[in-house]
Amino acid sequence: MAERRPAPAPELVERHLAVARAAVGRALDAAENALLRENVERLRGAVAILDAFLLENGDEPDASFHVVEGVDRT
Amino acid sequence: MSGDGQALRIASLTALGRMLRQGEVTAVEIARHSLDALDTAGRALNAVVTLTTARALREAARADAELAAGHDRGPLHGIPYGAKDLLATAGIPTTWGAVPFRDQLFSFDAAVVERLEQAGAVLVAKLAMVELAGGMGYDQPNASLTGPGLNPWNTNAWSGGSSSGSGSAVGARLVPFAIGSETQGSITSPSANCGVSGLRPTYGRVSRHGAMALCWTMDKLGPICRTAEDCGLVLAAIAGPDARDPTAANRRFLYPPTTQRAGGFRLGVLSGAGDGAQPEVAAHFEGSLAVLREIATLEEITLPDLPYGAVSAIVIGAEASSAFDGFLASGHAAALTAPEDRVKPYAYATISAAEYLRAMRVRRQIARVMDELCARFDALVSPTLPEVAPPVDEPFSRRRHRRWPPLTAAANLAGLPAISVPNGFGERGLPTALQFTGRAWSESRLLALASAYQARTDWHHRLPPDPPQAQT
Repeated sequence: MAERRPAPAPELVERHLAVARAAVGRALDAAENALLRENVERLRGAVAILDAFLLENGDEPDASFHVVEGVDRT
Repeated sequence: MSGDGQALRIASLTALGRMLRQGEVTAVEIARHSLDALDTAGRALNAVVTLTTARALREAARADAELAAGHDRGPLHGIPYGAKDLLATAGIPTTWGAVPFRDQLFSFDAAVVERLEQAGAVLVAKLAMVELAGGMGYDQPNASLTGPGLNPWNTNAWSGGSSSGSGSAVGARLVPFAIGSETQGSITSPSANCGVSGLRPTYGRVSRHGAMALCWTMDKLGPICRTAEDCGLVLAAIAGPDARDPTAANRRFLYPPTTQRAGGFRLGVLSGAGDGAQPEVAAHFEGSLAVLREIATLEEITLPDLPYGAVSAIVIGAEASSAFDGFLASGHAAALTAPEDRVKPYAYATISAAEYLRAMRVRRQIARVMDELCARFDALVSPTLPEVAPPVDEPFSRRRHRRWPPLTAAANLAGLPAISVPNGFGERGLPTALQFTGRAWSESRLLALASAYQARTDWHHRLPPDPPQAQT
């Protein structure tokens, strides 16, 4: 399943958590720290899924986005 | 006025227009009725941020004068509506649902508000929403400066996310229609929760000039109405190109169309669509399929296995981080209502440019695969949500059925349109809903399908209990 989420490496999470904490710019209490950690882990998990997917399925050379147009048959 | 309150509660846009043109009621009377209902029931449902009384009465008086002079602007002439409070309105606060922006004023109207004014519609209220359209990572209904949006069918349940006031106000029949916005689920979800019809247009169908940006490549504006037909009428008024929003496509949208199909449709039914859903949701979906078999051939299909959730998490996170860069750096996020919204968005700062572009590259594959899938059908059909509206006092993360269906992320990433219509009542007397998703620019077909479904069912005519009254 493409959405199966490999657990991100703990040191990777800690490194990104430090970046996120610095971005907040104020001291966080334990509950806030837990919320921030949860979101960092979620995003690292998402990135890991993308990496695994690209490795398995190949790349797309163009990162621009356009709606793929259909024809309205109504 | 001869048009009594109950008639105004149940009338479609077309019926209201007929009442106006036959002199049974005036635009000023309808506007006053709506303003009164919003001021009492609307406030009790936490659906209202600001009543736009002076502007409404001015626009309504103009509508009456024009009709008297033989100048008819079309089906929305003299019809009141509410706008999600992320749409700029000149001189009227635009709060984005968030305490730090409660005094924000713009000097201009959003393109959608301009177009509705040109169509003769009457703006009666700025409607409540989840703070910053939910982009900060909220995990509970109480994430808005106006409090949790309450559901007109059961006020112990939530109304939405994030167009909560738009769903609730239309569901409680306080306004005939409202404008909502969707990045991922924010039109279809409150429409499903509140038992109304909500249309998410194709990305680029409607100008976003003057709308709060959360995620530039995914944000859409669309109508929330009582019926699918009403959604078509409103979309026709707001769609079209706009030089101020370069993503707004140069495509015409006409409604009603010159010819409208009523049968012979071909539908893709997502296999396992009811799996993991509440029993009533699954049962009502099966019941809806039985109705749809009268007008369509159905084929079971499987949604391709792609990382929809991971891509949307990175795209929305990265773009929200950029859209709210200054706000987050200012520290004002600490004043947001939901505690999680005060800290979770700072995790977005950890998404690198390379990771964002990686997600966009996978997104392109998703758009192509979704188009190939949708090209085989007039629409994909699925339950809009796996559960009825959650309790108002419970975090979403505790909900067993809460997970978004993968189609929601897939279709929003691909910019595809969808319409949600009610299809029954489940737990705690709350509405369940059915969703049609189609190829880009296929709104006419989706509306024809939803209208054909509604011609065979009466869920969209059901009325919630008498609206609650505001505490004084």
